[in-house]
Amino acid sequence: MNTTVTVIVTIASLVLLLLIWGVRTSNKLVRRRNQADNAFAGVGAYLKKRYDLIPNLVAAAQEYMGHEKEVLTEVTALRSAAEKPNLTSEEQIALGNKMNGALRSFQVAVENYPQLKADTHIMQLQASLNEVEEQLSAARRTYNSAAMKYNNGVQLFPSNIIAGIAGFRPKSYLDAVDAERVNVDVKNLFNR
Amino acid sequence: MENSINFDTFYNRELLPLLTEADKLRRQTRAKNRGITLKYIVITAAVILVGFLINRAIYGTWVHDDKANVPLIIMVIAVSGLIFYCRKAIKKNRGSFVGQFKGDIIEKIVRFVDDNLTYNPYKMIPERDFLASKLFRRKPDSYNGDDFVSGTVGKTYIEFSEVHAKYLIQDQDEDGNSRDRWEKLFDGLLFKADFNKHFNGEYFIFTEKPSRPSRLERLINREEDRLKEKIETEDREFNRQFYVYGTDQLEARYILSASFMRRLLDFKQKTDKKIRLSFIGSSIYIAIPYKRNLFEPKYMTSVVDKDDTAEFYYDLRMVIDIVTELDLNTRIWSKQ
Repeated sequence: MNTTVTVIVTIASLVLLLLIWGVRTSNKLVRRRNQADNAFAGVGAYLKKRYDLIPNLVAAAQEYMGHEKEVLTEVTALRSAAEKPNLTSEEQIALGNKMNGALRSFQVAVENYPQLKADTHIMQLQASLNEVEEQLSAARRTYNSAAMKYNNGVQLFPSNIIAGIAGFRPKSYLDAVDAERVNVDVKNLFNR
Repeated sequence: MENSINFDTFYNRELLPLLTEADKLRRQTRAKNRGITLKYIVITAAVILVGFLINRAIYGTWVHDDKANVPLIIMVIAVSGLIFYCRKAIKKNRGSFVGQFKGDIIEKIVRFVDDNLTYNPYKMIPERDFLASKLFRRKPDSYNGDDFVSGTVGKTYIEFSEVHAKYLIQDQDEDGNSRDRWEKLFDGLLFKADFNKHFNGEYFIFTEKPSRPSRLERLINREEDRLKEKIETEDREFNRQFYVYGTDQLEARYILSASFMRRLLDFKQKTDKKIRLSFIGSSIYIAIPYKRNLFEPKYMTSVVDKDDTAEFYYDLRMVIDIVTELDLNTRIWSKQ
């Protein structure tokens, strides 16, 4: 009799402990997933902040940049594309990456226009743009860090068991774009 | 100025004549202090002698076993006073020499490193900046310092000084009597500069794991954990060498760009000290601990010493160069 009770109590305790562990692990994964989602929202916010700068930048630059209008056209087109509703996260990121390239071309093109280089309004816009680029880079790195923590929880034993049962899927990382690998010193571009 | 000539030329051309003059002053000061010491020894000996003679005249013995020996008591008080004044006079003379040396030599070296900087041997970085930096968990009960340098290097306003901060601890012995004890909080250089990026939170970088209040301490002492959350960067080497804390993960990464982290690693290696950094308000604060007293001239031996003077120069350079080492003059963001 006593032995049976002991066995039942032991099994019940083990099941209870397993249950507690499962709930805690699931909560931890939810917390990490939320952190990653939150960090991803940060990337989106800075992408938007950067798009908001584009009209002013284009308006200020187009009166000088007669021969290189296509750069401005590309930047404007990309901004319009980014404003379309219902874009998926992947599309947003892809557009953001294209915009990195377009803005780099713009910064190089600025080189050919001494008057543009000297324009204080353009200088301020360039400074704001650099700031957003740096913040965007920080947001990407924050997301990747949060995503890695979450993915470790999803993929590593034993929490991967709970992740499998509860349907947690690993998140993909954001690649560092070239513009972030090399910190563009616009000031130097101006001073050359 | 520095770019046009190197330190050796500067030393021979500008500093050597000043050092020779300063050494003359040092020898004069020492001679003066020897005279003062001798004078006080003679006076003290006379006071002791007179004390005993009066005591003997009153009580018929040098020291009376049962009486109060009032002349001897007065003599002891007088001797204590004499020692106090003697020390004070010597200290004043020596201080005057040190002040003059620093005003002439250190000031000249500071201007040699950067002409836009000013130097004050008696001032220090204010205690409110020390507290604002939040680099130390405790508040100091005693705060002093000297060798204050301030000015603009390129586009960056900087200030630093030597700082000595201590706090008081009350120990209790077995009988329950309490005794005060001073503990060192920080000895070294405190550097403050205008940071080149805008930020809103507070961020800390330590080379040693900092002490943080436990949950119980936070509850009982109502002590806030100033460090907020731990921040793990993507740079493994940086994570190995530094402990980073702060208000916001994203903003911390905005401050700690990949290149800035590399620069900090290099700076740590160069200084080879347990540095602490904080980013608060719009400033960067750096505490560099030193065991020795900085920018102090020799007193017992000649100050005409190229190695000693070069040490002053390199100590100053190390701090002033933080601006270039950490690239604080790069103003490509909205903060100009």
